[in-house]
Amino acid sequence: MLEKNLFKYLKPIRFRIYLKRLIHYLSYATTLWSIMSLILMIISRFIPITFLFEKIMLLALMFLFLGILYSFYKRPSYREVALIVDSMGLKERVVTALELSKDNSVIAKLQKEDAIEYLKKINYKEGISIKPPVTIVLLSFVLILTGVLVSFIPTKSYITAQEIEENLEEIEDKKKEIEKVEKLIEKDNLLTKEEKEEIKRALERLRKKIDNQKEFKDITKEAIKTNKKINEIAKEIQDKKIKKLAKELGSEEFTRNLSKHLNNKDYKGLMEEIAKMEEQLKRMDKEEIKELSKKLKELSSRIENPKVSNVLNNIASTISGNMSDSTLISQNMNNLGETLSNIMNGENISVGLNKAISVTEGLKNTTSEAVALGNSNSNQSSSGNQNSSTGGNNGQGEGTGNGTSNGSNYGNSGSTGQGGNGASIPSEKTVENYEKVFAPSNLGVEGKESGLKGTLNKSGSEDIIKVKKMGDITGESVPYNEVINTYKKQAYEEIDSKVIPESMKEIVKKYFAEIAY
Amino acid sequence: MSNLELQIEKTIEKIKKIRDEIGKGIIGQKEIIDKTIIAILSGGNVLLEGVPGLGKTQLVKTIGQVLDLEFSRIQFTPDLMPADIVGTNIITNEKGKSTFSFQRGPIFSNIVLADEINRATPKTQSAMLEAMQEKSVTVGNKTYKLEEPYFVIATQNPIEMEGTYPLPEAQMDRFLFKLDIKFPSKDELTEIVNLTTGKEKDRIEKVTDRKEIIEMINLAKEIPIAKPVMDYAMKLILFTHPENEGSPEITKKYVRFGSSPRGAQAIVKASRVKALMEGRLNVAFEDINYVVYPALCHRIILNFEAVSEGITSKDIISEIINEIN
Repeated sequence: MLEKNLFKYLKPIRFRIYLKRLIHYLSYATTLWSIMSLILMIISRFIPITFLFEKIMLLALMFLFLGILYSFYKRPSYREVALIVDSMGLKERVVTALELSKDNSVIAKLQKEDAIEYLKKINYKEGISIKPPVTIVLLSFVLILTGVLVSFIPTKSYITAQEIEENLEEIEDKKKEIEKVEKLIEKDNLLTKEEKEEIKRALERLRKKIDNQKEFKDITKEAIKTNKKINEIAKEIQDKKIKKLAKELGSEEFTRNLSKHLNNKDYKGLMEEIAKMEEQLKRMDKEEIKELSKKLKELSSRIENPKVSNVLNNIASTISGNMSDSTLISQNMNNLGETLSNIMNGENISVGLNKAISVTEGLKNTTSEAVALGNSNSNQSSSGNQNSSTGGNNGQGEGTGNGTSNGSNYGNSGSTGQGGNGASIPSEKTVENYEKVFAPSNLGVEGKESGLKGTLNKSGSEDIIKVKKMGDITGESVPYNEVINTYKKQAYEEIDSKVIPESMKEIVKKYFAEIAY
Repeated sequence: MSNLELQIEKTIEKIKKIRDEIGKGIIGQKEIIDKTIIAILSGGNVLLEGVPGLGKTQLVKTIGQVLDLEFSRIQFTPDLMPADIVGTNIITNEKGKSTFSFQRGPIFSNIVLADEINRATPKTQSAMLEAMQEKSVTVGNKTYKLEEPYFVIATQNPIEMEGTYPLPEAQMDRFLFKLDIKFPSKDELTEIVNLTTGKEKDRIEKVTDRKEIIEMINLAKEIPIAKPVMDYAMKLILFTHPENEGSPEITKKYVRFGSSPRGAQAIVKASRVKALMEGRLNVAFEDINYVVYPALCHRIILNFEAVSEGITSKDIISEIINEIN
């Protein structure tokens, strides 16, 4: 009974001591956190530190947790509580009573009663203050305030860190897109099982690389590799489709030449042939037209590609119906040309594949930008591993070398049959290694409108031509890679904001992706 | 209310009365009176040190009267022999037959006042050893048990050192407390003069008796002492030893020999009595701090450096207490 009473009075005191310690340790943890945060904040002004505020918040949580954990570890024992209470004028009554808790002798009983009597009277709340240490709190406040002030100092490193953060976030988005593409690929009926597996493997590898990212250049390399792989698969599918279509078209006399040009991916020849066919149609008599219409209808029913089949069917219907409407015939023939051109450009091969190409392309660009950012800030020496460019001129691709402006997006850019289908992997040049080029100060900025006044004409009026004034041609010599990046960024913005044909978009993207820097 | 409870209350009351009654005969010196009572109820011996005329002898006489115990006084002189203290066998003629019979010396008493103990030769001083520690006396081949309670209160004069024999360490260690008697204040001195030169004198009355004193001594032994308090007392002893690793710098520098285990026993025994005197049933740190000076001062042997620099045992103890706290 006496023991129970003793613990009954000690329990709230114990809790208060625990609370006091918790408050104290949390105050110290806050001070440590504010010191660390300030150090981080100062370092971030000189070295780019990404996700700085997230890191500071994480530190806060960590210190908070450590404070709570440490106070729990240091929770007072009853013996400790007894000693603390005794130090408040109880003259070791409580600690003795605690030690005598199992002693049933008369003197022990009297001693315990005496201790409890004193415990009842004590105002422990006055003796055990739970106020946090003022000096520590003030110190923390000053440190936090200093940290906040430092955070307002804008430096190049801080801005770079923010840009890297944006890139990282973009990479994360791309990762999610890759996951979506993987699902699209799975559902794609145009791809064989092996092709699906191969693409999925490549995408998975890329995803893992992003997950375990240590350096942007590694992700870039992997993105280029994946992009190349998907492009190769896409090209194979496209080739197969073109060959099949060419074979189908070759089965008919009227479209035989068209089939040859299609097979050779000769865009110019194809267009010329369509013009010839149109002329031929105009020259045909009724019987020939009737016969041709019938054959074209039969051909359209044999052709698998629904678009081409539809166009041919339209031509057949048009010529059998109203041969006198040359505009309608020209329109149909133009449709045929456009459809075949699109097939040559690889459009509508597979939604999943197109998406995969676009995602890997985007990822490649983002990481390249991040590498460039890192390089332009790290100012490191160039003694590191320099990756040689594997694309461009060194590529051992399957370029057929027509070099026309239709620009297939699968790397048929070589003019000598050794055209590079490989994309270039950015080398790890540092700023010092890049040749400096002159960049005008108006690079990447909008010009101002200004009117150019002409001389007075005979009627007395004056011609005023409105032009965009690009400002004074001033600028500075900056590293090549920075100039390229500015141009690239502008070009991508243009692609996104303006109506540009899909095929041209790809050409622009390919140009910047393969450009060596 | 249990018997023990009653006994405790009675003891506390008695101690208070003893203190008041002794106070009638000794003006001032309250601390000396308290510490002497503590030493007596701890069953220990006391060495009183002070210049002549400070009431050392008077104090012992008063204690004897108040406690109603048998009191004897031995004036130590250089020619005092051990037999003069412990007694001797003498030839007696009983019924025409001469036999040796033991003639008890003044040591056979309850309170023995060994006045100016340092004036006797070491041989004579040593005669007290057995009585002080074992509470027995051996003469020839016969040992005589001394009657309980038994304690020796010795006095010595610190200034007149010529023709004296300083007590050896072994002898000093037998004293539970060594108390320095200070010169009284002006008011106390006036009161002493008035009391001793006037007509009226307060009559000293006995407050207790032998049996009650033994009961009080036994009761004090039951006062519990908590482990942290006991640890503190033991630390104090260990820290007086220069060879001990954790000892403070002052000990290592100025102490030649630290306290013996008797010092630890003295602290614990005396602190129990101190707690009881306060009406407390447990020993507190402050009890230890109260008794540590008289219990250890004479047990710490300082080196030459300390003596030359004027460092005292009290300084050492104070520093040790600071160090532990």
